[in-house]
Amino acid sequence: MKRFVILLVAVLFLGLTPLFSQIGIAEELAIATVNNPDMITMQKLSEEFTKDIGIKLSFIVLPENELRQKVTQDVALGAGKFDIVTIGTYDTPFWAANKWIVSLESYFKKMSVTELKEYNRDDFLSPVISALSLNGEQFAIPFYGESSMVFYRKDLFEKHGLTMPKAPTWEEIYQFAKVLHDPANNNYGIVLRGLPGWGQNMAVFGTMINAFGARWFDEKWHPQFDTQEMRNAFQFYKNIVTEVGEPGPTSVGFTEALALMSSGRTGMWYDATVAAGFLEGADSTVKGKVAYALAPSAKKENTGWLWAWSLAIESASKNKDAAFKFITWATSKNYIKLVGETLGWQQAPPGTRISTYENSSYQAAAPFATLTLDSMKNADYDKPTYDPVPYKGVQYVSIPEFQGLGEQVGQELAAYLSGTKDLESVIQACQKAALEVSKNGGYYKE
Amino acid sequence: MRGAIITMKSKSNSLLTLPAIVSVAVVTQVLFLATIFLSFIKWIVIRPDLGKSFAGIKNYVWIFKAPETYQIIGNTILITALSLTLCLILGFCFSLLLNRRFPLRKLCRMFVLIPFFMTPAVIGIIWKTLLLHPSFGITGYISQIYNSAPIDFFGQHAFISIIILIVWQWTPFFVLIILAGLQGVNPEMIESAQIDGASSIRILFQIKIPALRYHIQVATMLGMIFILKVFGLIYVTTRGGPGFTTTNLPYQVFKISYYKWDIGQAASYATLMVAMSLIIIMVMFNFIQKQIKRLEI
Repeated sequence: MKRFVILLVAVLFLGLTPLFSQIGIAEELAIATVNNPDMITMQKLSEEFTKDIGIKLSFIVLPENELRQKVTQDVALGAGKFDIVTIGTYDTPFWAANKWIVSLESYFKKMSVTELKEYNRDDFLSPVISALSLNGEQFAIPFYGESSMVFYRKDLFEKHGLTMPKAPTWEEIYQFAKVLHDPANNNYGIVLRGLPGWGQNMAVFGTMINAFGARWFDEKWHPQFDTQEMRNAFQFYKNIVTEVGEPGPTSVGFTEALALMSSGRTGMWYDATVAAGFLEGADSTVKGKVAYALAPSAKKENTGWLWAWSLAIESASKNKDAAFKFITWATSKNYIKLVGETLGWQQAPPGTRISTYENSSYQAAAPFATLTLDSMKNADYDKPTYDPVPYKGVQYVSIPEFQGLGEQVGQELAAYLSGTKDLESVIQACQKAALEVSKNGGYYKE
Repeated sequence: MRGAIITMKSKSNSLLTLPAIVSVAVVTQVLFLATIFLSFIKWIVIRPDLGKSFAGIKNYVWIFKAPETYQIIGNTILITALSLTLCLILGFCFSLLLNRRFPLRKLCRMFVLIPFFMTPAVIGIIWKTLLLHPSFGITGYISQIYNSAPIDFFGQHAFISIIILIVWQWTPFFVLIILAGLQGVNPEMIESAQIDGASSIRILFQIKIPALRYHIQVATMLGMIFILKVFGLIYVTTRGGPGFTTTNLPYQVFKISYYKWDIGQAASYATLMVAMSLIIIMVMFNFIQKQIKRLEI
């Protein structure tokens, strides 16, 4: 009898434990995010969300490449390990097409009139929202956005009697760099990314491809590497980097370039607008000495890139309502205000809401605000090139295969910059790689 | 009766080892068989609209038609051969030095062995950023002092740089094994040879090396297996570039898996890598066995 009672209690305990685990304990959301400063700030401040709403959060923070690999595996195989994923404007359209992430429209419809008014979807920058939508439905909410711009040392420009136009050309940048280049004193004319990778050197070079009138594919998805415009772009990049740029460019990515600029070792830098905040930070030796200009043009104007790290809800998530609560909290005006008042307005997530740029505290803390807003508003996401193309995206081609193609072209560019391959070999290798992507992906039209 | 008992004992011994055999077979072979299966499938993870289909040998045809495959195979063999040779020579030299008596010998041994216990990612970051970076590294600083252009190690000399890093990491492994063997060499044999008037070189080649033949074999075989699989160093420093200059088979499998997301092609490269590794290991093993037999004669 005693044994029977013990057995009965054990069975009841095991059977009812899942029920007990649901009572009185908040949901927990698993969030996969990238390890940049704005996301780390979000992680720090997320305790406020848990205090207010009662939902626990578990963050998985990884570098960009590793995050994309882990999250792609998770969504593609339907594992559902994450509720919320941090993805970019590149991934969102085809993740949405693959039904790996859910449309947010139905969740927005569930918000009350007051909540919607408070949240104000119209406050978001329209090019960014457009890049995060498919067939008119929004699939991700931007957490922070960026374009690209030129950072230059106004003190050095003054010293050499140079004047930077608001919208310089690449030739002007080249000529300025020649004047500023002083390698004997460890100062370079310009620093540009050369580290191979579709998110590294190809982000910068991708905009140069567009500026020089080249394109990845024509309207029939025929590769366009074997063209004079593309050769001009490759040659110009090599000339500017090897003649007036930093040594060992293939070892210089965003982090190294930021270090060179913020330690005062270069006169100019063309890169992501988000770097402006770091250059005005306490650690920067060039704080107060940096001015800004729009992304350089050549044949084409408005060449600044468009990127936004955004929060989306996995289709396999079992906590979609809770996940929507978090992503709207993290992208609300109140969150931006929380960051501004807690950590300083300079650290407020840029490139998402118009109201951020209308905030006088933010304008005072961020002298680069106006130019960043102009860069993002002018970004030609839908028509990135001089001649028509069948794809969207400025510094990338918005097809799933671009990760592999961009990575390979980035390596070929690195080989060209380091002198291990000549231009013709690089062009032919890129042309062949692009043709394979076009044909195997079913894009190619005869 | 006794024969029957022995047979029964043998059978029951075999049955007792069966769980271990099954576990090892499952753990080691199931994944490999799955990889071979996947190499015959067309499956691009990021294009679920294209579905999964049987591709036959198309993946293998693709990889053998791709010109970079031959460069990658060549890289894998060259990186392994050169690194192994240098590790063996340097490992032997360090072992001979550390086998002597001198002050702070134990401390020196510890310093020599440290690289082996560091993770490849840390080694790559330290060498790339703190030592060899043209702008931030010590070599960049030295070139500044002498007013010369800094050397772009991972751009213009990527292949040699990777070999240097591999040798730096794996030489201590060879030191560990060979030094253990050297400490087992009978000192009386060496003393007798010295009394008989043998030179140091003769003692080295005719006493010490023959005594270490099995240790050298183990170090070489294990070292080759580990160096064939090098991935972390390449990932952190050159990412297989510039171009395909430092891409080896493991890195190519990774690149195809996580950038191209083509599981069939990645599995084909992985199968090729295993087949090639087995052939190299068998050839190396036979070669070493012949050398050992020659020393024993």
